[in-house]
Amino acid sequence: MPNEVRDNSEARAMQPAGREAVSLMPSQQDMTAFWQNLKLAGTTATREQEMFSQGYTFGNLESLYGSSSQLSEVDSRPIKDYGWQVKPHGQDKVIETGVQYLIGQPAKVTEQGLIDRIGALPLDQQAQVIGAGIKAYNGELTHQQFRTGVGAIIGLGDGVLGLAQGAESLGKAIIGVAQFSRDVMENSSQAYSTASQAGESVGKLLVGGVRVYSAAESYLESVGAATNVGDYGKALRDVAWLGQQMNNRWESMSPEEKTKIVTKLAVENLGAIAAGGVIASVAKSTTITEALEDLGQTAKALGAGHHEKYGKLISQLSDAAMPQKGLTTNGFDMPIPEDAGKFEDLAAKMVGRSGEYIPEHKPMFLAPGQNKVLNEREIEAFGGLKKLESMSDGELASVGLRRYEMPKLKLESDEFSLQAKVPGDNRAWFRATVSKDGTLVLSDLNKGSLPDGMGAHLFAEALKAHNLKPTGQIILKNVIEKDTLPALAAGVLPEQTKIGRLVIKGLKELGITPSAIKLVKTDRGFDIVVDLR
Amino acid sequence: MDTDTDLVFKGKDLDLIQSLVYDSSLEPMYCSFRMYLHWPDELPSGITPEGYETLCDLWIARACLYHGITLDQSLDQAVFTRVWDRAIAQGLQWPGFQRLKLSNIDQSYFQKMLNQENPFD
Repeated sequence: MPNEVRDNSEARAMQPAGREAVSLMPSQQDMTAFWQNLKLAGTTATREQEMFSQGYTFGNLESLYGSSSQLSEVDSRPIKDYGWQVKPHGQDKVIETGVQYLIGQPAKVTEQGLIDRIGALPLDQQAQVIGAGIKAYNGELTHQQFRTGVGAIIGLGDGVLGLAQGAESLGKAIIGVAQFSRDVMENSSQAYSTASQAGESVGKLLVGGVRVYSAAESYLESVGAATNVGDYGKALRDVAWLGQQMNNRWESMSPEEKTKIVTKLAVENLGAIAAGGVIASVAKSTTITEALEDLGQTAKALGAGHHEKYGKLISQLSDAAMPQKGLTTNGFDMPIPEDAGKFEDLAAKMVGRSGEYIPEHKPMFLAPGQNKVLNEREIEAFGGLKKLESMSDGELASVGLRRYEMPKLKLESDEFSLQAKVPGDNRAWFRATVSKDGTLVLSDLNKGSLPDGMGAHLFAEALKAHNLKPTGQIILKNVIEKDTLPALAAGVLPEQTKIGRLVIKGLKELGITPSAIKLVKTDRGFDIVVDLR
Repeated sequence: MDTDTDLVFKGKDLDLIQSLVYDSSLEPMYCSFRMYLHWPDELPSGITPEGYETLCDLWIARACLYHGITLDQSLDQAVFTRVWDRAIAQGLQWPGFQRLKLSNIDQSYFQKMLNQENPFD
């Protein structure tokens, strides 16, 4: 008996998946040779029908097992193995063997198994699946069309994919990324809520080996990024755009900030020992999307048991790199992707943001001959904000005014504090801590070389930059400033002191009106307590 | 130092403070809430809120003892200088102890900050 017959590779290939499937995958040529060598009666197609009651053909069998990756959880239906036996067939002896799915057991493709399959495809086919998902999100494909399309691309066919439990989840995962990309691009407030979904989806896809960003880039490069050529060109540009924004944000962070973020998240999710390699590779990366995709490949290689924690790590790293509020300079209100409104969560974690932040556009004008921005009263004196906004730079100059833009902020945070600085102005900074009960303690605020009148704006922008939405109390602790204490002692209301006015002005920019401001005398000065409840 | 309670910094905060390295090239920053100068190398990342308050005491004490600040009469300067004395007694290695005398430039900046009509906005 030839060795290849004794090896019975076909029967082993059809064993339940997940057990060294890589070495057991027969090629189409192997199987053709197998049948021909054995001179089985009837056509191969007939034999296939006998063996695979679900109607597989060689073509899709090759597609099904043609990849070189592990196919864990692709199909867990019980299989009956008939073994093999030698039988006479005319002048020859043949081997009769076979396996068969047990009747009544529907195909079951788990979500991660399906994603694993997609991750094993070449980048252009991964791009087609992602593109189809985005088209489904855009309403250009129905769910059924999406399933059919994906089934065709990955070679499972509509019939099987229709039964796949993961098909809907796959669509949701892809849509999660697409939705966020679109929401951010369109400056939709929806991005507020889709951000966490996007991070989770990215993690899920990447640990399955799906190279979301590379696939999009690769597809666009192949069809021409500047055009709409190709079925999925526009859709994939959305995803590629998101990846570019993440990379830009990551690149703007200092090595220390990257290391701090990666170290914290890696240790929390993987444990100190496993985190070592991840910290070194991700923190040193200049392209976060590639680093995340590599992490996904690592998770895939490590096996299903590592998917959840790596998926969580990728999700959280994605959150850290995703576009921030104020990213654009076109005046739109860029949504905040993570921790939105979760002040108590932030207090519990005591983790703020790091990296660069471009403040929200606000029309401001420098007063003639002074390093001072016009206040509301002065703007009215010049004819009002609308009039000033409509004036050209030349027209403004004719009345001695210049436009002013708040410079970008550099955000830092540690276990306890949140800081914002102005690059190039070492004396401008904001520092605050958030206590466990959600109280914001403003430790220090200095506008540095920023024009007069910018302190409140710096305060407001720093809060926005760190995504702080105080709802309880803001405390200015142990104030001893020389004009404030005598004023308070003389009965001036806290909100009428200079420091009190600053806080109220800053909160007004955030749309917050304090319910009360009170003083608490301490042995180190006054605590000014701003109640927001 | 007789008891542990006399230590101004303990545990991780102490380690963080002691790990700071003096950098003579740095410029001071002005704290408008409390009228003192401080330098970036005097504040470690990761210090607890309690540790930060103690640092504030040291900065205020230095401003009073060495940089010419007089506190409002409603305040007791000794509250802050006692912390300073305890830190010295503890043998604390803190870069801030090397900035008792201000340079002309820093003194000028300090005066300018103190004389601002509105130091906050």
